[in-house]
Amino acid sequence: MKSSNIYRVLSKEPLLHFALIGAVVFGGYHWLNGRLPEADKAEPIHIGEGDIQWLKQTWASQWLRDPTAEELSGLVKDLVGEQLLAREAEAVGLGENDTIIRRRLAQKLKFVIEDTVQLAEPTEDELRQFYASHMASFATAGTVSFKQIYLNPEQRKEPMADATALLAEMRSKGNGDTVAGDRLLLGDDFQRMENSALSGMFGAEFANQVFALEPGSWKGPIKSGYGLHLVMVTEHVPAESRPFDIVRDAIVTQWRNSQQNDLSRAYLEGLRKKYGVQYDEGSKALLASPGLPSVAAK
Amino acid sequence: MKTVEARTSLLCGAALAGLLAVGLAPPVSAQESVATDVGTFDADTAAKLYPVKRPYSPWAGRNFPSRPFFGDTHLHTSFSMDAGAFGARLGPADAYRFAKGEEIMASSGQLAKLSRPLDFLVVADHSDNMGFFPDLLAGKPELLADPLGRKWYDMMQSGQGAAAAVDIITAFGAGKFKGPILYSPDSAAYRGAWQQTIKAAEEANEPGRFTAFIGYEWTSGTGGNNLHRNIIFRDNGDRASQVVPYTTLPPGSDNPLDLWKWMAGYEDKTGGSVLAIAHNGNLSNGRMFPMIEPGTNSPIDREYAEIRNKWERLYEVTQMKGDGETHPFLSPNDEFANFERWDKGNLDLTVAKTPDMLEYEYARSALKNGLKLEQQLGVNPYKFGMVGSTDAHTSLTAVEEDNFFGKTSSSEPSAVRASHPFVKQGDRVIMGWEQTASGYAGVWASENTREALFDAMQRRETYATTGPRMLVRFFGGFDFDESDANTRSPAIAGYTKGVPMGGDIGPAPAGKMPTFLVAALKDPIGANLDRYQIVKGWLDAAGEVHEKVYDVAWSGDRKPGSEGKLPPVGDTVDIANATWSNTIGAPELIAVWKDPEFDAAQRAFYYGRVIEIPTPRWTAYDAKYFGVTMPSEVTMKMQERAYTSPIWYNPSR
Repeated sequence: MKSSNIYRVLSKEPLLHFALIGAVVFGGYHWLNGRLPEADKAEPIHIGEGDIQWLKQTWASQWLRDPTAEELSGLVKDLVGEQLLAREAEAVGLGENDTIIRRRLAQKLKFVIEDTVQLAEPTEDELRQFYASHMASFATAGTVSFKQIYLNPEQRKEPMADATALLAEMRSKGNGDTVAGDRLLLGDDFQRMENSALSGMFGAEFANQVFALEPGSWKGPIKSGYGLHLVMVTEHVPAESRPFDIVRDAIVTQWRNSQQNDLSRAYLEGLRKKYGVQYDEGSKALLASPGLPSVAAK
Repeated sequence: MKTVEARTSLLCGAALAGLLAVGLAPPVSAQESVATDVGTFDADTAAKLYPVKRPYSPWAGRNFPSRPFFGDTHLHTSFSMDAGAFGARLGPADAYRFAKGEEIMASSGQLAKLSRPLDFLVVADHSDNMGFFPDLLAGKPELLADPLGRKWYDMMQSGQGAAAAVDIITAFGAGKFKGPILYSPDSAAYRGAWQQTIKAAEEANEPGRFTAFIGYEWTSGTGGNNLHRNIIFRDNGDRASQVVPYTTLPPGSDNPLDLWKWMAGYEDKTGGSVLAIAHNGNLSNGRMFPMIEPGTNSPIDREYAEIRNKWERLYEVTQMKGDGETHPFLSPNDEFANFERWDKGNLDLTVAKTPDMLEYEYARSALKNGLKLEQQLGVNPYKFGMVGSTDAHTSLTAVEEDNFFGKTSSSEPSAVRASHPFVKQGDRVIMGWEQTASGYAGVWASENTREALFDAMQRRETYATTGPRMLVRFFGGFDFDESDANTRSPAIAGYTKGVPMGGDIGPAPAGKMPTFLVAALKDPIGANLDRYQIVKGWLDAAGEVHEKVYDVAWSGDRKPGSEGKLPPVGDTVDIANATWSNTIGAPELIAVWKDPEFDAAQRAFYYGRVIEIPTPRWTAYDAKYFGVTMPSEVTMKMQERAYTSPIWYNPSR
């Protein structure tokens, strides 16, 4: 299998790995420069002060200390070897049509574009506009507080009938603090729960139903994955939008991300125009065969 | 030390602090005393000085974890070299969005969504080659020396960032982007994969609602033997960005000892905290939990034991590349041992598995050997808690059986994914259907933040599930009795009378034996529970290790048979339609169990294992959805499960 081969090579062949990386370094650099080296023009491998600094820095960021003189000379030796191999690999054309090199180059360009966009500073107007059109994503989540009475289907013959009877009893008692029903490990009393947390604990249907209840009286029974529940909501705190100044940082982040998406798409579109994309007849025929089925989520 | 916010009274607060010293003390023994400004303070002192009279509300003044948080400590994105090679196109930000419950277009072009959000996620991309881009840029000629670079820099400084961005991109497109300006003197200007990873986590992190940990995987696989570790940061980006992930390629190292040095170096340098979680011992060919130090002939020594014990407090016991609790060869009397087995060889199948390797790669045997080593060395190197995680390489942490998005993007749902080889090496093959739709980590923390979850991981108050989000409690002590299982809030008894999962007990008071309060509640949208078991391992006087599995709580009125084995719960699975019903099993299991074969002089560990009723395996959902017939050897149903972190009994503390 092709992919497993790639994995194996990556994990097992550090030498080849290095060669590939080296080829990427040089291939990428020269590709972007638009000038390919001539293999027979023997320009020596040049190691400058910057290279040594870079090696030291890379080492220090891995080992969290500076390399010793011995280690440094080993690093330089490796770098020289890597550059020699990479240069030769490129000269004999090993860098051509290599998936990993191609992917890495594409990734590098993508990083450069995305990071550049991240530097953009929005104007106050842009931010206000963005805030206004994305109000909901800067709001606090609504919460609900409630008490529940659980009816365990394993311990009852007629849980529904029991629930109805218990509901009538609870209602006639008013809002007393009576503990009733079966034990539920999650507890009986829940304070300021967001819908997502409640969904995780009881399932989404239960959560949505509890959020829809009017506070102040026992309601139900409501079904969950555990069985039946009577529920009394004691407090609703609705979702509330947060003021511009409080969430300014979040707005900037989201604005940048949205810019990034737009610009990345536009940039790719520009490249598509610049280079053009052609599908030959054979590929068209293959693409016309039945598409992948779409799998719905649970 | 865990602090308590007791508003009721100072006395009560002090008493509770003492109790918490028993219940929650993370790295120290449960019985250990706590030195304070006013002298030494331990549970006994507290109990004598301050008789516990709790406030009326049972939960007032307490900060016990009341619900588990579920998440994945091990997810790869397109930033991992191999994930990219397998076709992953989604990055860390997409991974966090998906975990938070958003609908995402998978790399294979299908819509994907979780049944409900997770509570936390660690994006753990391979460190090797992740930081390639910033390495390339670091320390190279000055951007500002170039006229174009200077121009953009000035534009950005004067608030024209957006214009500069457009200009730069245009320059790229026009081929003007040459020479020096490819490199940046300021790595903050061009972030590489690590910075992007950190940024994605920082943006996704919402304390109290969703925790996005910063992390990476250190992928040591020399010779194809899996010694991988995931590194998780307790800290925010300000600290994590002071370092780059440790690699196995030079200048890094493939030796775990060097990784642990790096971790110590990180903590020294930044004042932060990290932990490591190893995974897939089942693919290490006997090297994950060694008795002989790797690469040498010398037995594991005290130094190794201490260092490993310090950094590796959890083990990823179940994930997509098989289940690692135990193996039928190691546990022949355990009828649930043969579960999602990957035992054909090492990670790339270059070396076949032999039975002698198994002891050093499964969790249960490692816990047993840990007792042996502790006896010899005074420190247990294999004193780890349990988590499950996915190790998906798709950015999609989706391991429910009916919503399984595979290990790699090439094994996202399709009619053929089950019948294609997944790994092949000569005549050794692991087929696509053998991928395991597993697992998640359950963490008992008092709130959903990086700090609280990390601290819970440090004290091993965690459990592994193979996918379902069941709630599992496991408490050990010497004073639990039947009535503790009948209260409305058993956890209060659990925390006040014993220690939670991951803790230590012992030595036993005279005449007392270990007692365990166990409880489990089904996944609210999942299957009922079959049974709750306790797995015990111990070291006898002759220095031999043993294990035994006890059924301690189960559904219905089943009676153990002549050999003490509980009959199977039954089976409602309809494979053809990929359905089952909750007409068997129980939604909740709870019991107090006393060890009938306890010897106060012998080291032991106990952990909980919760088994669900049989349900369709992902292969059955695939067969139904795609209308394909699976080969006859394909497993089509299974019993999902959870494993708690152990509680250790030590006779000599």
